[in-house]
Amino acid sequence: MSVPISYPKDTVVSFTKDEIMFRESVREFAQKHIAPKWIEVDEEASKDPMKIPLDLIKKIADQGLLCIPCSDKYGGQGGTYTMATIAVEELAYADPAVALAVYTLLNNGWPFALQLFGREEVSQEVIPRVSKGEAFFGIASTEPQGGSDVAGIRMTAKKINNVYVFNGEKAYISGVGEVQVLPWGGGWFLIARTGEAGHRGLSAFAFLAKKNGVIGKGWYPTIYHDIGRHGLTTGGFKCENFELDKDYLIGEENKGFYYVMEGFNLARILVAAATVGGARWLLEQAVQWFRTRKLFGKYIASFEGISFRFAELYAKYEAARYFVYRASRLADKIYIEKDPAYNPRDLNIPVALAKMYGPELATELGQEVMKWYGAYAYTKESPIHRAWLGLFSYTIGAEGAQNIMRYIIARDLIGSEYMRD
Amino acid sequence: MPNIIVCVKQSYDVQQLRYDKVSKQFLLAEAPKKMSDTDRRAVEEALRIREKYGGKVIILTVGNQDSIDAIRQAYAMGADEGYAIIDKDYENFDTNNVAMILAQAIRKMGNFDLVLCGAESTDGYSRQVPVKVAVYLGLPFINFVRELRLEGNYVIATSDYEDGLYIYRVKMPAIVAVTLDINEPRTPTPSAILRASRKPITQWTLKDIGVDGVKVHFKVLNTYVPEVRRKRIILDASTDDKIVNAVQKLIDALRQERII
Repeated sequence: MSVPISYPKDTVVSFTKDEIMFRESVREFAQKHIAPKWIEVDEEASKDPMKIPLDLIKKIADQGLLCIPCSDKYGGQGGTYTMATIAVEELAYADPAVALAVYTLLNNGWPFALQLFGREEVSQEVIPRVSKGEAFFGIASTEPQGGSDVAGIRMTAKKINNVYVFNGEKAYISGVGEVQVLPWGGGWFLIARTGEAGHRGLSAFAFLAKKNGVIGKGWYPTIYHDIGRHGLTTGGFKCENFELDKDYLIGEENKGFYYVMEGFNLARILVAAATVGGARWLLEQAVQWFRTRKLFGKYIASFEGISFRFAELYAKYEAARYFVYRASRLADKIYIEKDPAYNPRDLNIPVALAKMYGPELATELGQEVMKWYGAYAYTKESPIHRAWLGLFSYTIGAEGAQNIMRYIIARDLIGSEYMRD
Repeated sequence: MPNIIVCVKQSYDVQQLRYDKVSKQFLLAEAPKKMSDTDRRAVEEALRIREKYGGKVIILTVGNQDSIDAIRQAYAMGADEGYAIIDKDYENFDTNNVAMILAQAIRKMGNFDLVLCGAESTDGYSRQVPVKVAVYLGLPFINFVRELRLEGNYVIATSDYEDGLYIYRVKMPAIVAVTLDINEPRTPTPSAILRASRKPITQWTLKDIGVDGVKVHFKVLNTYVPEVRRKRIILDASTDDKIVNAVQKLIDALRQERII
């Protein structure tokens, strides 16, 4: 195998008229309802993580921005995956600290994964609630001992008659607060051990910690204090003999690893889209500054140390944006159009490129913009640090660590047999 | 239950319009288009009337193939039917031509109670088409409407003529042109956008509506970005003793410009 100069199943990135109209519509919505509020949301929730912007979640839901790729028979929008990507990008542009963009991305990617692999009845129960903003549905994979080592998951789900009994702990999970305060509740696409050690003993569940407004017995949540992206909670939970009906098993028992990997691929596209939306906001802050700020009697962009660096970062932004939309177009081919010429594995490298590149560009850009602004950017009066801290979270974790992205790219290009210890 | 025809125009998105710095000409070929801002308000108002009183919202446009997108936008908002009169020479039409074609199409469609228009288009901004449609149809016209309701066979409209608000009570059918203040238009959901793209649009030629050729009365000779020269007067008020002098100079300059 040689390193491809282009992907044989590559797709041209262009937008349909529907998607262009949709972007206009989301942008208008987000600029009207989200942009004026994001700083307040970030500030309030920085003091108390449970200050969840329920009013804005409801507005996002009413605008039809949740469960976009899910079928309309489950109360989804019946849209393309690219539409979900556009929605997340525009929300992040309006809220560059990305709390609301990430709420939106989780509640697009994971309900869609549930629809792909879960039981019809469960999709019918969960997706309409998520779509209306009454329930949250994210991903619960990470545990206190680590997140990237999915195959090493310790939480157990033991089948006893008609229920699975869960014991163990999940950590650094988005939405632990939202599940508690949203009226219906919700939960996660959760991975737990049902069989042997390693990835072949894992199953996926539609783990509903709360449904119909009632929190299940044996579920003990905690909420963490994040350093940024305030307005979307991160937390953990312990399960002590938490019982879930067997129907909430997603797909077949002990195949959960494969489902969650496909789900990660889908969600990673949207994570990268959020970072691209935030990066666009940062670039605009830079341009605005360059057109006003003068030092030594001239505009600061006349110093090439600044303008050339800006140009380099803009190039990275364009690349990141291309990676994101190429991946979302491929996801459309595979999951929406169900084109037999495409295979879920075709997403591995394109998605890993997007998720590796987007968060790193956004963080690097945030840091540079702050330096260009100077000391003002280090004060709380400047909003830029909020964007930078929010976007930075996606270089640490969120649907896969950065080095896992590097591993996927290298593994698929070099061959896994050459990368074992 | 009123049948409302809404006349819309697919305009250049002036927010995104760029121009050539040397020739001062607008780069129209690359400019994105969207439905005129006031026309969107007219569609929104029609939908609100339908929600309250029932009836149908029918969209009408005249233009080229791009203009169909305005109907799609209106469909995504919730409009029931759409008609487009397409002509390759549209770009050369003057406001008389457009108004005559719209009026002729409205006559052909028949069965309507109210025609709503945006008071002006986002790009041309001539403010002439709605009133001319009313003249061609021989129907009452209310301009610059910022509030609208129906009362039996009458339309009650509040017009803003800047010197004051005027309230009109007019028997339908009537033509009403609305302003940006009348409402906040809805932003369509993804599923509404997707449904809109599957909905049929009736396309007519000029012949279909009985128009036998168009005589252009007004020709646009040039559209360009005017250069606004600034006076660039800098008054020195850097120290306390210079302030009084600077203020006096400022007053003199403002007087000279007849601002005060």
